[in-house]
Amino acid sequence: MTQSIDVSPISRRDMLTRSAAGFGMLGLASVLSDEHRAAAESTLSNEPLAPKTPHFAAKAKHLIFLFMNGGPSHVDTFDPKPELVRQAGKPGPGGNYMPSPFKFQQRGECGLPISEIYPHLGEYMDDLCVIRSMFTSTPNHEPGLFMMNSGTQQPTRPCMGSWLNYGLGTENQNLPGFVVLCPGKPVVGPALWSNSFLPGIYQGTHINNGQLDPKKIISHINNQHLPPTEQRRLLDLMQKMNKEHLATRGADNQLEARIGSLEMAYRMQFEAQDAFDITRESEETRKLYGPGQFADGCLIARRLVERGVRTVQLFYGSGQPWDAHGDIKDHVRDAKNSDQAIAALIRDLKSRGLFDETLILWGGEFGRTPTAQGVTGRNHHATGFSMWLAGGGVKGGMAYGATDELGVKAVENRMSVHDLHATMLHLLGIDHTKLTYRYSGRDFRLTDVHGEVAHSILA
Amino acid sequence: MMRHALRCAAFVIFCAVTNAVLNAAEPSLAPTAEQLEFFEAKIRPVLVKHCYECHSTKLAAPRGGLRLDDREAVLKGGDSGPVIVAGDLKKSPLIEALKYESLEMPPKGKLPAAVIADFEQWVKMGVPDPRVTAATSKPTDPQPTTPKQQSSAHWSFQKLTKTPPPNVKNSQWPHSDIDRFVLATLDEAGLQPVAAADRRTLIRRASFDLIGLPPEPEQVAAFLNDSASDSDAFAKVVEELLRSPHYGERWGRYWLDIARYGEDQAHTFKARNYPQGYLYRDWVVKSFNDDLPYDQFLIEQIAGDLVSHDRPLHERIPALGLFALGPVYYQDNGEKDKALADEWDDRVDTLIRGTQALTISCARCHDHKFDPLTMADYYGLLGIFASTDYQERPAAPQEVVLAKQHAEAALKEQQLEVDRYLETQARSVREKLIPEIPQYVVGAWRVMNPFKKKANEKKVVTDIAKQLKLNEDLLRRWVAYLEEKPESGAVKSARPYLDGWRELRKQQDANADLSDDKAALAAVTAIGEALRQQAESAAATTASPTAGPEAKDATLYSELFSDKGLLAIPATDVGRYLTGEPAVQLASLNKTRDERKQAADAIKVLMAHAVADGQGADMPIYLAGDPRKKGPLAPRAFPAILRNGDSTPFKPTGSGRLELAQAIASPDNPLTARVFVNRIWAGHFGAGLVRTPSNFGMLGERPTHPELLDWLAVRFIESGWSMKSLHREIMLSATYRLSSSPSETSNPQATDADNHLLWRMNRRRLEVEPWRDSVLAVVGNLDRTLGGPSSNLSNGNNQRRTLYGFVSRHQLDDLLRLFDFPDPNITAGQRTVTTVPLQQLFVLNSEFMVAQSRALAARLTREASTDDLRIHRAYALLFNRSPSPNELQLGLDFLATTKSDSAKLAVLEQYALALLGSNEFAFVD
Repeated sequence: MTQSIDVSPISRRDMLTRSAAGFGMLGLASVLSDEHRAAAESTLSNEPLAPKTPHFAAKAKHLIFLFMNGGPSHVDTFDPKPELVRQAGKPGPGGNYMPSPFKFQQRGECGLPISEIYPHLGEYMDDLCVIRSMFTSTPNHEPGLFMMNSGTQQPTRPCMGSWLNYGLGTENQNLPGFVVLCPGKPVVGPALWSNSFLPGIYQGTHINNGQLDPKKIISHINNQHLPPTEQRRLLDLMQKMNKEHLATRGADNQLEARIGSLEMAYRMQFEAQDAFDITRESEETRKLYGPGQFADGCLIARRLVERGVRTVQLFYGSGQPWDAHGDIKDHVRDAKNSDQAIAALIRDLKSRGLFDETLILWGGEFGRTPTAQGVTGRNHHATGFSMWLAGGGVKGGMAYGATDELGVKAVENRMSVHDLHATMLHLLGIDHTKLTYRYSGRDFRLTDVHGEVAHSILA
Repeated sequence: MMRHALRCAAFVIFCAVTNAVLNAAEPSLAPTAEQLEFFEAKIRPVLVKHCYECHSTKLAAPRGGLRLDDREAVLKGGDSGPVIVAGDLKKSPLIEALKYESLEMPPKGKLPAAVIADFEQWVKMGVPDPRVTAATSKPTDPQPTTPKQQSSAHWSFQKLTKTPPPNVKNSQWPHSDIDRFVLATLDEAGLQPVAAADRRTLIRRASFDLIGLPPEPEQVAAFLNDSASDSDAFAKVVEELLRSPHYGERWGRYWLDIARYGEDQAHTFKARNYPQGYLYRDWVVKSFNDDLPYDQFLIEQIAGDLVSHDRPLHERIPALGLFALGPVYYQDNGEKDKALADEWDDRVDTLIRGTQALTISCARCHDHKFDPLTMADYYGLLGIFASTDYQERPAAPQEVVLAKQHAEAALKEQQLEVDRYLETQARSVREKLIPEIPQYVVGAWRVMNPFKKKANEKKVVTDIAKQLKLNEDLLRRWVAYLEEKPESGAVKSARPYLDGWRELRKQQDANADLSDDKAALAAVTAIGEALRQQAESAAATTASPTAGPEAKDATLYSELFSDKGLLAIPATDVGRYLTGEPAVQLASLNKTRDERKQAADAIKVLMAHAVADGQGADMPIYLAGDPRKKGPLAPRAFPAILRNGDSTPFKPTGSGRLELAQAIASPDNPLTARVFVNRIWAGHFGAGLVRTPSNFGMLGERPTHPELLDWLAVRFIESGWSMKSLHREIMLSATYRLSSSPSETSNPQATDADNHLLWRMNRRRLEVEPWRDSVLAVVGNLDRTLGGPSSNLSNGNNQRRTLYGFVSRHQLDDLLRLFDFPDPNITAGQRTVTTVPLQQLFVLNSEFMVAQSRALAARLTREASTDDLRIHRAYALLFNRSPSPNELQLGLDFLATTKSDSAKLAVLEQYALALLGSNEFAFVD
């Protein structure tokens, strides 16, 4: 709780001594300190989302994960493979090799190549750190999506956004700390932003930016029945009754916490609606991002980060749009719908001084085969693909790792999903081996027993 | 849940590749200087650079137990054996791993071929290596394990002992033996219990505790006015509540958390859903209401189909939902074995964590690090579930199932009768279709016009057949016939009666849509009419379709009336052409068929999601949890530590579920009763005597009152595992009846703020179910119907108890998730409690709360005539008390105001919302 509350402010100092039944009270507040780790399997806290101190100073305070669901092809975007031209039509794994129909251009001072389908993003090549050596476990959407989001193939683990909120809390108590934007829903859906065994408050809040009505974005955010002054009057009455009740019960921080959270809910109605209302942006800014649902999503992501939201995950589209089985040229459409907006997001964050404290992560659940499926399509591909990072704490203008000459397999500086998660957490100031939650008699981690931080990409 | 098998597997990097090699060969000769130089130049740098990070003696737990910075350690190998055998490349899995043939080492990227060749050379040389370090003096066991002797002495594995309740100085306070245990502990700590709660508080507490709803004002009044002693009067209240059918709804839900009850899957692709899952939920509720002995309750859920019992089988079948309703996982991409292992792990974990409070899934990849549970124990249990199949089984008495089968057989028989009769009549009616020929010609023309291939011709035919009331199959034949594709040109000349049609096709514009052209339609109809006349004449002159070529119109006759002919109406459509006796006959057959259908439909047999024994077989231990690496078989058995050290495997005729059930539901099992008694205690006090209710192992918390826990467990078993007796035992104690407010005089807050020693009752926030149910109850909207299919809670008209809301693993209901309902993908022994603004937004703005506020205001208006009386009535309904003068004045002042024009809630409705949203209504003292 960052705001002071005009009724019965809760003194954290008093919490321990005044705590009532206390079932492992304050367990979460001490999440990052080993010696205080709650032994109990269940944890109760009245400030589960209060900002917490990271393990070490880090530049990045926020994460924006641009999720290209369906799986973008690496050899057509960030990992050019001239050898595919020479091997064109010759048999490879799962089909015959197919060169990219797109040209690559060297952009920026770094001169890293990027596919022609990203003319705008190319302008920011010096800010991107392209990981060309990603690999994952299974080349199928659902397990791939689970893996990328929660570090396991099955729906039994908390996702990365939930871990981040658990570990770091969030800066703005009037907004959810973990927002998931998707026009419609990606394949699998809500399990991708599930808190699983973490307390429910760490679940992502899904917002359908396909039907953007600031009044409807968060459940029950809109008071449709009373003008604000009358709602305030009602709330005052409720709080007077609550204080009357509290006085007869003695100090009880559960009761006090609920009083405080009612106040926050009241304020949240105004702040949250404002945060999601992109019509408040200038014409110029709207033009910068361009039209479309994904562009709107990028703009909202910036507004949220600006307001202190910890994690924003923006799914590119409903279903699995990047899943170009039939024709890899479908990527032209998907790049076109996102290129300008991503470039605008980087530019906008920079101009507001937010770029350095925001980590942007781009990628899908896997890559696509360097071989053809049918005549012009590409199939799912797990053994080597690309993602990129930009912003807080990341070295820009570099490529990390490599696939083999034909883009089949990651061979150099191979980076597993666990490594990516470990690196992402590190960039946000968290030692991935210490971000644990005791459940079922064991300490769980986002990276389970894996994960190596890729130190060479850290700025 | 410990689904870390593969991840652990990757850790145990080199181990388990082969069991063939027993011992590293001791090199007989000392290495030469050249060999050592080779090692220093080619091998050591690589080991340092690529291997030491994970495989060093300096690490507390080197990965896979393998250390590569010491010669002896290298030769000894990892957790499952050597990785190098001096001089033998084939027996050196390290080389395979470097080549990325088996495991892929180092994981960051394959080493250059030349380096691998160096390693081969090194092995062939006999592994010359000068390194001798501390490792040689280290214990050979790679894992720092807790001595098993110590962990088997852990309190929860000891036999139950019934210690007599201690004597206490204050003999006035205790009402029961429970109190003597509690008071003795308090005395030791120099603490005193607070005062007892008043009757009003007590009946409210008891009512929320047992049925999850507040008491009615009349019940409160009766209790307050009961002249009997506090104890006797309260005993009556408890009895009444235990008799309520809503008791099972409240306590069944606790069990459903443990059973990770859900009605679908987290994924949706080819997901197995559980539309009759509610049969299990209802079975659980009923079992609580019937006070089904807990041992029986467990046996029926584990092996209800295998026990002989006076309760009929069909009443036990839904109990098997405990396992049958479990999550299932993706099995694609060669991951089937892994997914199956995950599913069996869910069953084992849910059962063992739920009933034994042990985290045995830890033993999936390695022996449990803290508790005396081995991989053999784990796989011994897993084998039981691997030997059990999912099966949907009738939840109805055998005679009903048989009756249903008979009725369905009779129906099928009669339907065949009808079909046979129609077949026999089919030929006789063909000529009766002659008058429809013009319609068929028009229909076919409309399908074909404009004369080009249509993309959706199938649908066009269907639509036109429907419009013109033609038989669709016949219309299709007419279209094909009249299309006269070129390949059937040879026949053309043989059909002079189609000349008119051919001429028409030529005249009509092939690209023009003529469907609204009356002249065209008339022309087509005329052609159809002509064809009809030809057909009549053919029918009149041709004796049979097989008549010889001399028959005048034999061709046309054959085309129309042969078995695949243009008028050979399919048997299913014959009925409408029958007249006279055949029509009567058909009607009679149909009538019998309809009656039989009704009879069959009237017999309801619900299919429960259940299990049945499959192929009974022991499972191999999956080394490091990896299904690809099969170790020795683990005989199906129950962990020895829970069977007085008896490690005899089951000798099951089937899966072993029955033996498992008996081992768990045994009075000799040290954990079953303790764990359950603790769960019931936690349900009443908000925290158990062991505060990690699903972990009684070494890492769980110790009981605050170990003797009391055992005493309760023994009493529980002695009572015949009666849950209701246990409730009585607990609720009639003085401890249960303590006030929840801190004492004014003494200050136990300072020494025991968390109330471990039970000097007062814990104040608790209502879980989402009793909270929502209570809102509905006090406004008078609660639908108290018991059981039945689940319904969507987000439906504003849903006024049933929250227990009956659909529980989705894919997308948990918003309200449930918001208010700390546990993830139904995994067993939950305890709910977390969070307090966040999103919850209060529901309170302030949701349609549900607004609707209930309106209903409460209407009720208050109906039942009381003045503001003063309405406020009193509201406090009686919601809080079972009168308002304080302050509260009354607050209410009066508020109700005296007026609302603005734009406010959609009247002042009394706003007041109702404030009451329903208040803290007092969300917490129980």
